[in-house]
Amino acid sequence: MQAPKKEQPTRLRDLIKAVRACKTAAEERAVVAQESAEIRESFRDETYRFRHRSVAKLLFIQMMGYPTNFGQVECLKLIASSNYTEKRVGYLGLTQLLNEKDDVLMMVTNSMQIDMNSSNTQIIGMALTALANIATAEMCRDLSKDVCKLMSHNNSYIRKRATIAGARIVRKCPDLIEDFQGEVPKVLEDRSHVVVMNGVNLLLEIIKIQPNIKQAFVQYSGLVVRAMRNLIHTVHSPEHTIGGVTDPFLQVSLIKLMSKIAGAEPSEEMTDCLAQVATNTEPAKNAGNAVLYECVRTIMDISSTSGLRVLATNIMGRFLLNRDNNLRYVALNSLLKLVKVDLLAVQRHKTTIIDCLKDADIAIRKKALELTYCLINESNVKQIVKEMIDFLIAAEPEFKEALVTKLCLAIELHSPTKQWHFDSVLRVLTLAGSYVPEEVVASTAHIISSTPELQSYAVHKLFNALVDNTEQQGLVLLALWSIGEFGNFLVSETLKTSDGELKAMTPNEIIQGVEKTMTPIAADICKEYALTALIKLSVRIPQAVQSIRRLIEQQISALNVELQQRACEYIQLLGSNWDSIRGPLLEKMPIYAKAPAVDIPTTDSSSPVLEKPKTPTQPNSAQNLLDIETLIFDSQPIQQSQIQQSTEVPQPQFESLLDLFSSTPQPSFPAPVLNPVTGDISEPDKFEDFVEITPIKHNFIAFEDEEINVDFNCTKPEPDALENTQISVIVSNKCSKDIVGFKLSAAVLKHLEFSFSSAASTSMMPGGSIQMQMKMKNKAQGQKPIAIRMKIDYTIDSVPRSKLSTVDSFPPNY
Amino acid sequence: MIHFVLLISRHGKIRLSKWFTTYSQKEREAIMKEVKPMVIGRNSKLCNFLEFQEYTLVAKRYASLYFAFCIDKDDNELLTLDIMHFYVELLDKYFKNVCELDIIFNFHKAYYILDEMIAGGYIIETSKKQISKYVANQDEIMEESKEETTAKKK
Repeated sequence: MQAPKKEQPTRLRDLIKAVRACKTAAEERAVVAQESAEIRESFRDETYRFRHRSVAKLLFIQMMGYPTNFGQVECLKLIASSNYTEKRVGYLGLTQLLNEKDDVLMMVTNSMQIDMNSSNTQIIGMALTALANIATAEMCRDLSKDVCKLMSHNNSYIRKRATIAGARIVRKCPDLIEDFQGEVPKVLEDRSHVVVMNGVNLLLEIIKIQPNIKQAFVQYSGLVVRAMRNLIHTVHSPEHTIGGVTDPFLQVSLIKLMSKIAGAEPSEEMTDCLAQVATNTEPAKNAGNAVLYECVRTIMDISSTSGLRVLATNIMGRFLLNRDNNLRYVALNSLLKLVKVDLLAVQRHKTTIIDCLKDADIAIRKKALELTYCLINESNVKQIVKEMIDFLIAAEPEFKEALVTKLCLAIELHSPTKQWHFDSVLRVLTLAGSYVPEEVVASTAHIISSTPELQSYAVHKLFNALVDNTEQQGLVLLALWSIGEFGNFLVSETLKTSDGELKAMTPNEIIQGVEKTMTPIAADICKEYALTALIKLSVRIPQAVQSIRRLIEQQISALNVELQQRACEYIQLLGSNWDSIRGPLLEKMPIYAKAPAVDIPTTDSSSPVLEKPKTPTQPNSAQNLLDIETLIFDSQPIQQSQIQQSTEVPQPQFESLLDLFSSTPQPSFPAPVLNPVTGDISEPDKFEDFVEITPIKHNFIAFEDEEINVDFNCTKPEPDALENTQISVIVSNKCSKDIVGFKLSAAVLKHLEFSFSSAASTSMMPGGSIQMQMKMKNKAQGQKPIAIRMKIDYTIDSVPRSKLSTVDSFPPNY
Repeated sequence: MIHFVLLISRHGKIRLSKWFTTYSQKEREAIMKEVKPMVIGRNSKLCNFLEFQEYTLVAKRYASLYFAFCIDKDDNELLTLDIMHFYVELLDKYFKNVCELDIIFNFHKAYYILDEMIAGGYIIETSKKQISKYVANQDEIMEESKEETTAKKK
């Protein structure tokens, strides 16, 4: 049975009321479903008078998120109508109910073309708006000619709409740019400034699509500057004034265009104009600030004079200090761009930028963080990192992650000393260890393992931090690793540091500390680290073997295969049949290749010192020792001086050699060492198992090139004081010319002390040689090798030569 | 350019949506779903700019309505606030002290006003007086055409 046909369909207002009266979503759905059904039914009637009303209702229904596709064709019918109301609703429906992806859309092309040729400006306007908003490429192509024509219409209302419709056409069909390019100059000179604005926007669109077209418009920069001048000198135009600024919309478009058409070198009048805008624009209201902001962006984009740039930076500085968050946000945004070209200018606002790290607004904090990171260098890294760490305490998780990543990167790239590096990473790990990327843990482990003087300190600090806090995974991993490697320092040494004493621990305390990390809920990776730490401790702290065995045994039944395997293997290793090799096997991990920094460094600060060698110091002067330290301990490959073992083979101490071989036969190659970071077994350094062998005499060539030869003949003069080495340095002239003004300078690490007698002569004939005596005292003999940084200066044929070399081929226990 | 304009009520109902970039109905709904929680309940003390996909979202609350404009990253965020305010002023002038209900019941009028102000993603007219004049003029023609229809009917 068919429902009786209603004479008057529901009015839009009543539908809206009915929907608003619905108490539940189900009720609303029912109302909409009924209405949709009625509308659909009504569309069947070709002579239906209330079609526009139905489409209007559909718009409402669509806005609530219900399907309305069935109304699309009705929009086309309405547009084709001669009635203004129907046409207006039809065009509204077209832009709302349809989009470029609907096939129905192209059916409207013909109606639009007819409307564009209407005598009614309102109707032309509607067609142009629809085209500007939703036209497909195909429609754009079909209607392009008509739009071009309308750009010269005598009514400015049509001209502005045709111009902006042109922007859609060039966006959809870049090949039609040429058609519009010719029209642009005309609209830029239009007497109506609204048309000018649309023209500028069209041009900006064209340039965006085809950047290389910019060049063709450089000639209009004069015109644009004049338009801008007129605008800022117009006093009374209340119609277009917003917040005391005459038409900020047009101003911003013009200024933006300036940045595109400034060419290689902006004209003087453009520079003047920008300076004028930057100085005179009223900053009290948002509109003025919008203009200033655009002006600053243009100044930064074009190759401005430094004066102009200072002006721009100062405006951003003012924005930064403003209480309005929006201004701070845009200021940080533009400084981020500026920092790439003019770091110094941005550095001046460092304090304000760092302050923004504690802003209530996360958007601002994130921008400030990015910018702060760009500002860090060797000279301010300590201060900035300290402040960043302070912010870390209060940061919410969302921000912590970003902050920690940048922080670690900054520490890694710019740290002035290893100790500071370690301390800073430790603080970050303590506060936010769970957010620290794995690479940071690995690279910090690398620093500890490659810096012997840091090891005891680091393991004490890490152990104390671990005892206080087992929540932060990054901290737990690093601490466990160092306890395993350097646990011996924990029992044997009490350290005095600037902030108190680090007490030696009892074996029991240490094992308890490790045990804390092995709770059932701990992450598997932590337990893996803990197991390796324990097995390593079994040789470092033999007293604790029983507790170690107990803890490892607990993991034999672990569900995680890796854990279980490690536990089983380690228990085996604790068996007495492995007593003889357990020691060498669980040796300290060899220094492994450093993990690269998390990010590509922005400065060259991480490059090895050798790339830009600093002048080595005079002997006995300590000022450059730090450089040497980084140089020698830097993991980057060091350019080695040519080293040749002299024919006189080092004489091993037979006693110790016998000692080494007295127990079960040992393989003569170095024992593999467990790497707790990767769990792999790796080959230790070659010298590792010759530790006890002290050659009494050692001769080698420390430096050699085609002109000179430097021989080091080393002896240990006093058998009771093995830390002292006597080095006789023999320099010989290999070339066929006289060498004059020979000077040898050297610098050494902190654990070394040396003195040397100057040579009797500073010149050598061809084949001649000079001799010097050097006395070296190695205070860390047996732990750290001797390394000397040498600088050799001499002159041949009045051409000065200067050579640098690192001599590190001393036996490791020398 | 402006990619879309959304007016959202405090309860997350869309009161107006205008799209200048092509999105399918599905995409539009996904965007609205994503934008709503970003703007609703946002502390008014925070800045009005949010990162949204590869765009910037400029969002501000006016009485019970949230206005959200999506613009390109290199567009002028501050100016967009003025464009937004400009639209609010136009609505205010047209409805004489606009409130959410005016827009709910006369959403088509709100669209007509927006059409006079923004097309193709750009602001096309910067005089409030002109826009009001155009809209009034169109309303008048509409009334006339309605009378015409009624007359025909008689």
